[in-house]
Amino acid sequence: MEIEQTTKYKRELKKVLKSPIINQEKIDTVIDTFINNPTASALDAKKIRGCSSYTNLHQIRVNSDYRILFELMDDYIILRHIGKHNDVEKKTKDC
Amino acid sequence: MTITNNQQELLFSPTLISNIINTFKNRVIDIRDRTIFSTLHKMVSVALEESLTMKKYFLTARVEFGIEEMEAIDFDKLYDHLEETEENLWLLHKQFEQSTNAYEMQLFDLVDSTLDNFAVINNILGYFESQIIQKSRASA
Repeated sequence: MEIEQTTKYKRELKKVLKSPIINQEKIDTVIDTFINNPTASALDAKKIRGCSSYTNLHQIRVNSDYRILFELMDDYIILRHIGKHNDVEKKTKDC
Repeated sequence: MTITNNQQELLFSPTLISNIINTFKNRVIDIRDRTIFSTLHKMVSVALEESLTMKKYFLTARVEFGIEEMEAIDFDKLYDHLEETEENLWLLHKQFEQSTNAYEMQLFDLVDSTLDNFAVINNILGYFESQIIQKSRASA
């Protein structure tokens, strides 16, 4: 499965990587885990409902503080947001 | 009119707001001064008007734009301007949220409405990029 990134995700990633409690390797591992085993309990993966523009929006857990929001397509994913739990939660509103 | 020209027309001018807020933070100006308040009010009103125009523009564009036109949008540039203006507006929002002063409460409501629009614009831009990726892959 291939991975695409939006401009917003890339910009958020730059900010997130300044945090000492997260790194690119951890993010890659989490995404790989989802691709290979979407139901892995550590990911706490959930489909976002009530979002009128998207039917395929999902959220996974990177660690206790950070989450990733992405669209799950047939053979690729589009990474949309990464950030603190509450910030990512806000992105699922008014969409 | 090209997309680039449209973008130029829609871009915010956050520098002035930024300068005013910095001056404000340094306590050189007083919000209770009617002239200062009017200036701030006018600037936030312009930001609100521009955000509404931008929102309308992109909502229309959702339907009307082809893939080539969508790819011509400089998302990084748009986000730069949106984020800079949004950060400044959040400073004002924080400054006035507990206020009981009539002027400041009025300005708070205006800032609040403007920030709501920013959230919507960010969502619309995200939708746009997603569409570009999907359409590019479908046509590859």
